[in-house]
Amino acid sequence: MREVFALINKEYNQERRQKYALNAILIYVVATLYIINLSFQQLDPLVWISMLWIILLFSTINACSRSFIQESNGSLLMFYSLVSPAKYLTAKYIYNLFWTLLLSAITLFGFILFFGNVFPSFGYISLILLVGGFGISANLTMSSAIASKGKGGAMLMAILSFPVMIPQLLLLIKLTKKALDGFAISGGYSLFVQLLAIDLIVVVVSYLLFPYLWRD
Amino acid sequence: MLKGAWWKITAILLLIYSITAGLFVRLGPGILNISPSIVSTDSVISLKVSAYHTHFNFQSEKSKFWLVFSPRNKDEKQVEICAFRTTQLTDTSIQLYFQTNTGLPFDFRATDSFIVGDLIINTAADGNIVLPDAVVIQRTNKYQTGGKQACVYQVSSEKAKYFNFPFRNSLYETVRNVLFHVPMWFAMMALFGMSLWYSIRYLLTQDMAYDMLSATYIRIGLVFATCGLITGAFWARFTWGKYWVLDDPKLNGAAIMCLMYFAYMVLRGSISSNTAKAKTSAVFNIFAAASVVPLLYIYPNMTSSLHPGNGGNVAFSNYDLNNNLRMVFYPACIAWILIGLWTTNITVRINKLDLKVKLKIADQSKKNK
Repeated sequence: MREVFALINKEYNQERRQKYALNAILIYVVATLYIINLSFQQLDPLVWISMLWIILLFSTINACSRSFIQESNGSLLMFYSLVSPAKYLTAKYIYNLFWTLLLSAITLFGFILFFGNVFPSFGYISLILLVGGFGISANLTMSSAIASKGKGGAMLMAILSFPVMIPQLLLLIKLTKKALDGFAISGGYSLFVQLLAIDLIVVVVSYLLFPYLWRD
Repeated sequence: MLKGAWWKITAILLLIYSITAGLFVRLGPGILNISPSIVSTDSVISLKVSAYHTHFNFQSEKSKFWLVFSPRNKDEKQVEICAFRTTQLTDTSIQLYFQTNTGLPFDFRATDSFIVGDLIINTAADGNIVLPDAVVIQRTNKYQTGGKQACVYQVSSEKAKYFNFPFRNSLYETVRNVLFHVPMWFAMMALFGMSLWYSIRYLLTQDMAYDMLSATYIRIGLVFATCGLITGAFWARFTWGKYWVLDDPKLNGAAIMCLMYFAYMVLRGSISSNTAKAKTSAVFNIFAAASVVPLLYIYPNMTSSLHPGNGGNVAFSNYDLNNNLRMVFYPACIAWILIGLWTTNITVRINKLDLKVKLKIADQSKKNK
């Protein structure tokens, strides 16, 4: 566990040294929000939801794509000799999860600020964003690990992660629509179970496959 | 020489069989339309029927025409009225007269302002031909009730005398596309499944031959996916009015599949080192398949579909009334899967020869130095 924390700490320090990364993504979110605000003026609840997820999708892809792509081959070799692949993946995963949740919170608050709250209960939408964040960050961590082997950079990352994320996104959008009408537990419960099951599949498959991927 | 070729011969024979049958077997008899389709009870109903591939003039004294009204309650019987007069026009069109002014043989309920009847035609050559919900009979004030059950026909044969594909309204001749469009997706699934299997084998053994197999299966699978998309698009244009419809789970599933495997090809193209390419693409293949498979379970019950068997639509088996489509459909599926495997086999052999030639050239240039 100490190794995982050390790795997360290293990620954090790396991020802190290049200050532009955090600011760039924050400005990215705010700028898209503002453009939507200019073009729509007022948002229909369904458009509200789709816009929320589209912005979240693109900003998280941008945020998480850096996690593996920025590593040089030399540093990967060093980590390979120091820690087990599962620990390395865990550190990346937790760090990406933190980013995803932070971006979710910022986007949600931005939307509420610009367009008003459409959800009767704040708890459900937070829960959906939380559970969704687990799956999305797991997916993006693995996609970024795969994309880092190629020369395509963030572009390749987007191509690889879109089709893989669609099942989760469909469920999340459906759940969010349910949250609009106050979220009847009867219908939402099975969707939550499905979402958690997909999260679990993605996490398990990532841990199984990552050891093969990272040693060259 | 021919020892290992039995499956290739099977593939060719089945392919020839399915394509010939698919293109040349005659479509069965059916009713295209009927006019007028809304009539009222206080008159003699005169209906002009246009049909397709029927033989009204063949032993015309044996031809029978009647309307069937299904009961609203379980304790009632279904009601039939027969045509009392027919005017022969041609083999495929006929004028029918039904008498309802003496009273329909059952009561309209006070709440029913209309009843809907199915038209059934039986001829000696074509057997039973049904047009469901053919005619709507509106209630008028002058209706009478309590007529007698006029006809119980003895029909000579319920099936057509020749081998045919079932006639379905709104599909017509395009029903035979089921023998070309659907096998493409079956073959694609089989090839992608094989590729997944070889990706797993590659990760376990690190044998480059498995990587080449896996990549080739995906390449050929994508060819089949493209064929499936093209045949499907034309079919959709004919039956649904558009080349592509949104919000259909099967179409979206196909789109996601194609995106995923085209991304796989892009990923392979972007890595130069051979082992890294093999390893990464195998990992992506397994990862993507594992995260897209849940889609097959969650998606179909989320939205309705225009495809048969989804969202309240009748399944494919309901289209195939006489089981003749099935006799060509299953061989066609086997044939296209085998053709897919064969194509992959040839492509892999070409790739291997290519590698050999490259190695030899490299060897020779070394020797020359």
